[in-house]
Amino acid sequence: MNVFAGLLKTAAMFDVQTVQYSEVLYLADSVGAGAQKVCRVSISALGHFLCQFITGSFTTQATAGLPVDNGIDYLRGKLIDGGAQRALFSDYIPLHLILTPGRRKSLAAGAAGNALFYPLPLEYMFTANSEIVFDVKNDSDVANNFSIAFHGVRIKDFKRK
Amino acid sequence: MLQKIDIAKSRYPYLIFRRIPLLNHANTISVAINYGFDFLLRRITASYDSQDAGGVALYPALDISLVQTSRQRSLQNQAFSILLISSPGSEGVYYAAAPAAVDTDLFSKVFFAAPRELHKTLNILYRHREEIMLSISGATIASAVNPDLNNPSYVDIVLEGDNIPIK
Repeated sequence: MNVFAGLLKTAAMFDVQTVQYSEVLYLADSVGAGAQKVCRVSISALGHFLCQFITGSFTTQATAGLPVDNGIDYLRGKLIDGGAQRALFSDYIPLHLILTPGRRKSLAAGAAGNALFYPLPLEYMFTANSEIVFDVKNDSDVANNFSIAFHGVRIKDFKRK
Repeated sequence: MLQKIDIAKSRYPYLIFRRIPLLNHANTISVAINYGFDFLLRRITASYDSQDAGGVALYPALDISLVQTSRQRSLQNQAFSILLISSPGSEGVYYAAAPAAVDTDLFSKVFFAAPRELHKTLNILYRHREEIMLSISGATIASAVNPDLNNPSYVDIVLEGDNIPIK
C-alpha cells in the first residue's frame, strides 16, 4: 500500500508541471593541452531555469608520449551567468573541489573513477534567453574533457493554472 | 506570460577560492567580501597534500580557525582539524608541477582529483565591509618539498556561500 497515495494531489501536480518542471541542462566539452576555453549552454527562450544542484565529472590525463590517466586534476573553471555577466566564482576553482563524482576513468589502463557523492548546491535563476558560461583552463599537456549537469527547474510561468 | 526577474535584488550563490601557502607557522588570510553584499558562508571545501611524492606523510594536524572581525570574536575555542568540516581534505595528495600550466601564478602545482564527499554546514553571516579571516596552522612537518617559501605547498580553500545584496 502506498501511504502517500491519498496525500499527493496528482491532478494539481500535473497542472503545475505544465509550467514548472524538472530539467537537467548538460554541458560537456574538451579543453586542449595548456589551453583555456569558454564553454556555454543556452537557457533558450523556453523559460527561466532555476538551477539547484550541479554534478559533474572530468578526465585526468597527462602525457610523456602516450596519454596517461594519472588521476591528477588539471582542470579549473569559473562559472558565469552569461545573461547578467555575473561571475559566480571568485576565481578559477579546481574541478575536484566542486564536482562530484569528479574524476572519471578515461583510458582502459586508468584507475576507476569516483562515485557520486553530494552535489554542489547552487541555487541560481538563469533567466530566459541567457546562457550558462563555464570558463575552463587545462594545465595538462594533453586535452582533458569535462561534463557538468545543471539540475533544476524550468519555469515557464510563476503562476499556477 | 514569462515574468521578468530582477536578479540585481536577489541573493546568488558565490564561491570564493583561495590557494593558501602552508608555512611553518600559523598563516592568517583575510578575504574581502564583494562591495554591496553581505556574505552567508555555508560551507568550506578544502584540499591539501597529505604526503609528498615519496609517500612521506605531511601535515597530519592541519588546523583551521575562523574569526568574525565585526564582532572581534573567534568562532571556536581553538583551531581544529580541517577534516572535521570538509572533504576531500587530506585526500588531495601533492604530486608535481603541472606539465603545461595555462598561467603559472600559484598553479605550478596540481592535486590528485579526490572526490568531494561530506561537508559540515556552517551558516555564518559576514556583513558587508567585513572580512572573512581564516587561519591555517599545524603545518609543522619538515620535508624535502616543504616548508620552503620558494617552493611552498598549498591548501586550496573554497568558501561556498551566498552574496546577499544590502537592502
